[in-house]
Amino acid sequence: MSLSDADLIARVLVSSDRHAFSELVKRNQSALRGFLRSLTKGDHALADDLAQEALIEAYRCLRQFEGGSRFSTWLLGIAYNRFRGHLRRRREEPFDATQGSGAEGGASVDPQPSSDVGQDLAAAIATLRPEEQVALRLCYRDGLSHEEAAGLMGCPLGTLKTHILRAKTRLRSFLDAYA
Amino acid sequence: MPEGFQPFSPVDPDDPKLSLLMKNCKTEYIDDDGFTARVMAAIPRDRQKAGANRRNLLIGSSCLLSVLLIAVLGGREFLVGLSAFILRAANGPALVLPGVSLGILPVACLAAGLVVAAGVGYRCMRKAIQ
Repeated sequence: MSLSDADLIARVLVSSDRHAFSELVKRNQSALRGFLRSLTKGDHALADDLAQEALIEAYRCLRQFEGGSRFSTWLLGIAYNRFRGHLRRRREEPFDATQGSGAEGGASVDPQPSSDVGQDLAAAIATLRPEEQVALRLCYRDGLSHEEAAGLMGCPLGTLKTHILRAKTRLRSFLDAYA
Repeated sequence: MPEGFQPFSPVDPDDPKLSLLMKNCKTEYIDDDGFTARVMAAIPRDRQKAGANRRNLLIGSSCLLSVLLIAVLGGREFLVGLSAFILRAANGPALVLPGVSLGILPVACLAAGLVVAAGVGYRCMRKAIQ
């Protein structure tokens, strides 16, 4: 019988069980790396570096995990903050405001609808701005309240709602192709 | 439009259609390919554990050195001296070093080693029970 995430976390905290943490990494690596690959627009090496940094930080700060959300969600919050830190370090313009609109032909989404809505939606989400992707994911996939998601992303509640509204508007442009 | 699919409203804060879509949104599984091993290799070992390991190593070396010294410098003489010392300490008021060339140091190291070994053993047993 496999242990739950909570059991594994308890083992790490009580007895510094590295095998338990290794199991947590194995369980979450795909989602975490996929999430970061999406944020980094497919830069796999950068995504893996950020994922590794996020996991090391998670190990160091595991005592701060209060269990209010799933471990995977908490991990995504750390990864998102790492990604933001990376953008700050590179002194890049964080987000290109012109990208991500399906109506403007942003990115590589096929405007022709295919039979696989899930796949098309994943591609459409990948064209959104990073903060919009994260806000959508936390609120609509991981089931966090807006307040929880804003806390995890480190932004005001109003800002989070704006991200969601913009993301939904952009996604609607994409999904209109199905109409 | 696929069957049963309706575009969601961008102004509805609790959008069940979007929730459903997001939950069904396909994400490709990424093979581990040694990623977990790399992460675990990069994670620093627990400081407390490293400190305990260093302490155990020190105590272990002291014990080993003590045993070697006893063997090299004459075990029988040492034991006789030690028993005489214990008897004097129990009977008389004055504590004097045993009349052997080793002095009290190896005995103290041995005693400390035994105490620490007992402590480590106890902790290991507790971990095993947990």
